[in-house]
Amino acid sequence: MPEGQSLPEVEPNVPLADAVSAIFERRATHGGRELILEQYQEKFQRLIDTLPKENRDTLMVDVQKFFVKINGWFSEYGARVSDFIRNVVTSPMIRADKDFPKDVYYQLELSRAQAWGDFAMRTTKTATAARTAYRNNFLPAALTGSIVGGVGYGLYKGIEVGTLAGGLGGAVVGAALGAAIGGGVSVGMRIKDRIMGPPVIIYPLGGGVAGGIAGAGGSIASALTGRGGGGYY
Amino acid sequence: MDDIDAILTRIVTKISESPLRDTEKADIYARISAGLHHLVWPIIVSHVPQYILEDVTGNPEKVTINRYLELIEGALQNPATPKEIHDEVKGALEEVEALLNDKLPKPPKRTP
Repeated sequence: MPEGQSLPEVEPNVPLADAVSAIFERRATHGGRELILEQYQEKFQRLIDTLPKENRDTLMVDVQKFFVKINGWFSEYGARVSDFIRNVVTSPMIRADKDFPKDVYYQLELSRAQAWGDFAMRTTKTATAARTAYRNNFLPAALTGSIVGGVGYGLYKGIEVGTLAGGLGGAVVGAALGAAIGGGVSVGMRIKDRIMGPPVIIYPLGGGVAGGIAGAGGSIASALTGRGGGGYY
Repeated sequence: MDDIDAILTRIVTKISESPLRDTEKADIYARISAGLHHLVWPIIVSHVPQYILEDVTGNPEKVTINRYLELIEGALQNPATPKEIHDEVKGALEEVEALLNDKLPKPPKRTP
């Protein structure tokens, strides 16, 4: 916690979720960041929302190189924060991929982006429809008795979706889905993955199938990242 | 397990074992997730040289993915940026954990 700052006072009638949001809002806007947000956030958000669609084979190579660099920059801070940053900063690139499927996951990405935008403006105000959609994303993970189990099933679904979508988007979606429903993943682990974003896979060129396999816990990601196993990687 | 993952594990365990309704649990998870993501951009943007920031935000039509990569790399390769992101993420999670310890309803006692 920054020096001189203390835990926010929580009024008795403030819902716990709003008190949680207030912690992040204060941190996101202290130390001069409020001024930066006022000056640049809207423009910067527009910029990353409108990155041009690029139809070129080297896009995946660029993404992979970027993943490796991020891993290096955050190596001393652990896997979670490294994966988290990968998710945040590569999300605009993934959306810029021409093959990113306009399905439920795309809609979720948009809801997530919209919820973040709203969060920046008025964090503790009434939840918007976008935030409700975002919250609903966590509901299946919060239900402790409904694990879709089996490595085989996760592998199958990851490959199925990854193959269907193909390309960069397909690989990432396949990986996310494989991680979400792959076997051997505890409920707590899946919730953490949803909070921080799914583990991002460094995958070989070749599209969705590889992403699906990696997302379901295959050896590709483990070999490249030196971590993981099970459904997490 | 790194320290951020460990804190996150304790938070998720506390919430999941609490007597809150599933929608309330999901709402808190969503707030934590949105909050964490929201922490990142202001830090990155604050480490981009202002003249570059003004150039790219003033000419969004000229921005390519490669230009975007240069922008983010320019901020992240400064060792101060990853440290600041890590410290803010960890600090925020510690605050959330303290808040939950204080305000979260305790799980019902199990009867033998």
